[in-house]
Amino acid sequence: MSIKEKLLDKANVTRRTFLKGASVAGATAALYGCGGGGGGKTYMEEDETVEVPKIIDATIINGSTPHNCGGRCASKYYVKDGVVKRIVTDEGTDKNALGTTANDPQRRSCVRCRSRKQWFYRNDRLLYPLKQTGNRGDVNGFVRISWEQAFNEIGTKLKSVIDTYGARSLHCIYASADSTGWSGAAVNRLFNMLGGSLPYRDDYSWPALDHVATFTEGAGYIPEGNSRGDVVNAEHVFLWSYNGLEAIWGTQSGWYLTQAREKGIPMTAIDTRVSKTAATIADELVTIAPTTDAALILGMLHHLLTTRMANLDVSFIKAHLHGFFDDPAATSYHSSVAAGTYVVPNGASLSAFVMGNVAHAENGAASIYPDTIGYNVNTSGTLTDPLAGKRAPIDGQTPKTPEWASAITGVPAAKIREMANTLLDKNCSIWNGSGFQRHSESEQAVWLLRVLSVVTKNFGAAGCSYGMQPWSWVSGPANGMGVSNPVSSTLTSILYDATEMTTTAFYANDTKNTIPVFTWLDALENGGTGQSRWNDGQIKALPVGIKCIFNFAGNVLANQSGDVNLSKSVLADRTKAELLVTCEHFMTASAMMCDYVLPGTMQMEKPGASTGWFSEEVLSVPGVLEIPGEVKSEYDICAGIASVLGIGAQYTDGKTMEDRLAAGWAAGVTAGTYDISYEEFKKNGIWKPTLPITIKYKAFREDPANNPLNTPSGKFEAYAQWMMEDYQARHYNNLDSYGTLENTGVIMDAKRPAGSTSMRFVYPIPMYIPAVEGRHADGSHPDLLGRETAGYKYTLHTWHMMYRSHSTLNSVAYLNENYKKDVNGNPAFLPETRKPANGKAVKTWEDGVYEPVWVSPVDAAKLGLSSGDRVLIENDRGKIYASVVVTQRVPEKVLYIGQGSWHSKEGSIDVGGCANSLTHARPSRICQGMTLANDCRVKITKA
Amino acid sequence: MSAKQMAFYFDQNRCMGCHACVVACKDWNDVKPGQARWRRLSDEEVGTFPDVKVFNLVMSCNHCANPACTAACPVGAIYKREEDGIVIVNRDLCQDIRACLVACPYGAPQFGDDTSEPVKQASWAVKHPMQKCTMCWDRLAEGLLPSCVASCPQRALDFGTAEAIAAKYPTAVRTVVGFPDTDKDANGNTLKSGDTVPSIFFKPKA
Ligand code: SF4
Ligand code: SF4
Ligand code: SF4
Repeated sequence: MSIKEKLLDKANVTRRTFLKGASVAGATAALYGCGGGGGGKTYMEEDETVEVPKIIDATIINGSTPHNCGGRCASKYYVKDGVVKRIVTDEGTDKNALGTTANDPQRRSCVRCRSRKQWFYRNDRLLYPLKQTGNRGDVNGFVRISWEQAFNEIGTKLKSVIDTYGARSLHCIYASADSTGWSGAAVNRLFNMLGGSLPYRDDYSWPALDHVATFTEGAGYIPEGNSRGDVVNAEHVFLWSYNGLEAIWGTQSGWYLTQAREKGIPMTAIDTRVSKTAATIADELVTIAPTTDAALILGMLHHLLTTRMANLDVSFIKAHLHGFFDDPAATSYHSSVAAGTYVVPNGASLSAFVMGNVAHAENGAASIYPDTIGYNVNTSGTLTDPLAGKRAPIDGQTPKTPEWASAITGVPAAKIREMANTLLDKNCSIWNGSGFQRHSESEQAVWLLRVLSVVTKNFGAAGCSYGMQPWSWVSGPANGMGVSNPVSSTLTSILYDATEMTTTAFYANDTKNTIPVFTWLDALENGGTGQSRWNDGQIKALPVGIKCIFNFAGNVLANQSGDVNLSKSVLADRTKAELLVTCEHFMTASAMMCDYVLPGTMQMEKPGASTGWFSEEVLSVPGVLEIPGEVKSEYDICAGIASVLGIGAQYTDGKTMEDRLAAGWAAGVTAGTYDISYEEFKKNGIWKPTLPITIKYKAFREDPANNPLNTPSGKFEAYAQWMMEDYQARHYNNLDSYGTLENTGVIMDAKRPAGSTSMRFVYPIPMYIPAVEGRHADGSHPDLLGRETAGYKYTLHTWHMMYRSHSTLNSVAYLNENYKKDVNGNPAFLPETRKPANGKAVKTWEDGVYEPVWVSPVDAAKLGLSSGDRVLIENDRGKIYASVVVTQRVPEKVLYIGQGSWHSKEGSIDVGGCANSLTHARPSRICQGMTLANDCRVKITKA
Repeated sequence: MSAKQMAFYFDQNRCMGCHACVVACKDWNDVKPGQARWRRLSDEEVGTFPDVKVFNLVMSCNHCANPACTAACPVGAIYKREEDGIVIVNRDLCQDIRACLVACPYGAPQFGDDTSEPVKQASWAVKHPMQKCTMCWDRLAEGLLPSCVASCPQRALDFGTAEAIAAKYPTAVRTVVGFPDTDKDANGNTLKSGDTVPSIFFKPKA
């Protein structure tokens, strides 16, 4: 009998024999008269109890670790000898008065910032500069070098690239992991002092939201709605593709919505699956086939234009929305736009398109739009596109009835009518997310949602809103790092043909002298050759390609952009990029592809400040933690390179980061922005002004003629001629020689003032265009590339999960153990003790720690899969391993995987489970944005 | 019964299943990554897509009024504090018998492994003695809320004396979807020591 068996054998083991056994087993404490066993005493004698431990003696520092989630919440750190011992969040008063200026909740952080001890202190952290001595991507080729060698070699090579190709060949690639802003500011300052670099526009997150809002509402950034707190004034809330509770769209947004719901405001979620947000706060979930949102909105508009026509406020619509109805004699609210130059020809309006071949009383003609649309792609040469000559249905002559929409989206027609009625009859707020724009036709639904909000009068009044809160409330202290980019102004004449534009007076955007952020790979692969993989007019016009990339605090190169395997093959070619430099905390997939990998400081190891999305506060990020190894700040790194190039003194101006922040804060105090000193700010860790509740577009709603929007019409634009012209100005030949418009219709533009009958690739109105690898509820998707017959019967759909921000924090064990799995389906993580061999680099990821993929029970049964099974997900672009989670939260035929896991190949398989090993690099039609993260067909097998 | 009983409150409607409380607990109590977790999240899906409801539940030790663990432990390593009803394990006394693990209806007793607990403390009798929620008694002593409760971005958790919680949430109930039977051990057998009377109140998901 083992001691354990003896102990459990209570009938035969007396207390006395137990005590003997216990001391044999090494028990040190005296035991007597205890409870247990016979269910006797519950309380122990005094000397058997445990002392309440004293909370460790540490300094409590208020700060934050801001990265690119929307929260940027408050944290408090128990710091001892420069080391974080404990992390808690805002523990001040939780003052909840949503919708009033008294609202001041605790800025409670989410699981990501709670997990940071396992981020700060990992032995696989990069601690000294590494240089690739082998082929790019070879983990064994990295050797440790000194900072002196790193600065000298990088500086020398940088100079030679500039001397040979010009500053235009430098690129500071999109990177978002450091929301103190130092990483981007440091590189841009260096580059701009050396002559500039090739700039990009928009971002990876919201390119369609950015682009469309620029042109259709004259916004500087994204579609703009009321303050978050105004949600309490809504009679109904629509959460459109919105998973803000999980992704954290602004600190406390989930809490705000929860309070609104508890006040009885009904919430409808429109999503493709039961997200954490939908599962938690939606009273009703309307599930939709991925990438078909535009069809749903068109169906709603058709219902409004027919059944509810009597209730539409036509004169209001006409006063606020350009081109919803035909308007051949339209005049602008802006006197600078000449009469007759910005009109809506008969049959060309959005409502005409919605009605198809059926006449509408408000319009001059039935729809002029054809039934199909082509692709503006390479039709010959080595870069010939498989979409060349293919045509997708746009159903220009078909009425977009709720039944038409239902077949595509899978949303019942009655539900489509009901939602349209609610929007028309109630004060509604639409909170949008961005998953609905992650496909090849990303712009359409974003645009249509704005149209829908105007047609149903859900903007500019309390409780009536679509979009995100304006971002301009508060801002962090200026760091004085800005130097203008000398390259920008030289690009306008190259990248833009302004003669295509009726007017350039209303730009809030910079399409004219930048490349779309997503097209850097094309600029690297084809820039300077007159070619573009995607037939992008601006890439073709580039006089020189990208030759040097600095990637500081980002993972776009070989993880967060479409088609990682394609990216890697281009990056590996040293005749394309001659210098690739990453500054990072860990050996990411992008770092792995670089010539130099430099260890950078984490947030809290350098001073900083940050604002969250929808900025209601400024957070301090004091640099109080001990910096490990030879880690340096991005500022010091770039200053080191600048020194080699003889501009070290100009670079720093003799200032430290702290000096710069203090000066920026002081300037803010002088300007009346901040009402506390820099020292107080740092002590409090947060600055919270009293914020008004903004009703966006209120003045425009009430008196549009005197408060016009920053668009050529002065209104929201359902017909955005200038957005189409801008596409043409970017050197795209937009005339599709395939055919002409219907009903002898014409579309005008600056170069064709009398109108052209030609079909186009980009029209002035939003439509429903099937995503290239999409699917329709009724199986009618055109599948132009034959993905279904090629065996790729499943759609891969990604989301922004709780346990990372993009690819940031992917290796944090406190997070991983909650969702990653081993080959047997047990929780798995890379232990913090994992470390590189001396002077070497670690692999990006290890086989055996897999990313979960959500599979519906119906598909799981068909495929013979159970939760915890390892699967191979693949297509002709790549292969990944993942671990199955069978769940009722997802529809059949769609697999869901979190975006951002770290690509790491063993043989041909990415064991890290990066979704972008499978996604496409094709840019979207109009804004050339994003990865096609929800527009991706795959197959899945047990592995 | 103890003189006073501290208790948790959990609003199942508010919980989104984010693990902030789980990690806040691990961080505060320095429980390293690995199988031991003093607060755990589970979920139950009811219905089929798209008409599916998700019932999240986070649970730690419920600091029962009548703890099954203390009754089960043959070495008396677990005890209940008179002053606040908190159930505490004396890790020095634990012999790794794991009777508590069988007895506790809620899976509260936790055991580390060599990854999470690489170093055995000198005072411990075994390599990985039982560990579990202390209701953050060190924080309570300083007037702070338990780490988990103070962490929840959704304000799904609350904490106080059982009387105060019952008064603050008059419609609170004593069980919720996913919550185990309070009088059955981990194997589903009726506990000889009687109903545990867990110190937790709920708002069930509507
Ligand atoms: S922190 Fe709150 S919302 Fe998140 S799992 Fe815990 S109880 Fe639920
Ligand atoms: S929950 Fe389990 S471990 Fe906690 S007191 Fe009750 S029986 Fe003991
Ligand atoms: S009360 Fe403290 S120890 Fe218990 S689960 Fe919450 S955080 Fe963990």
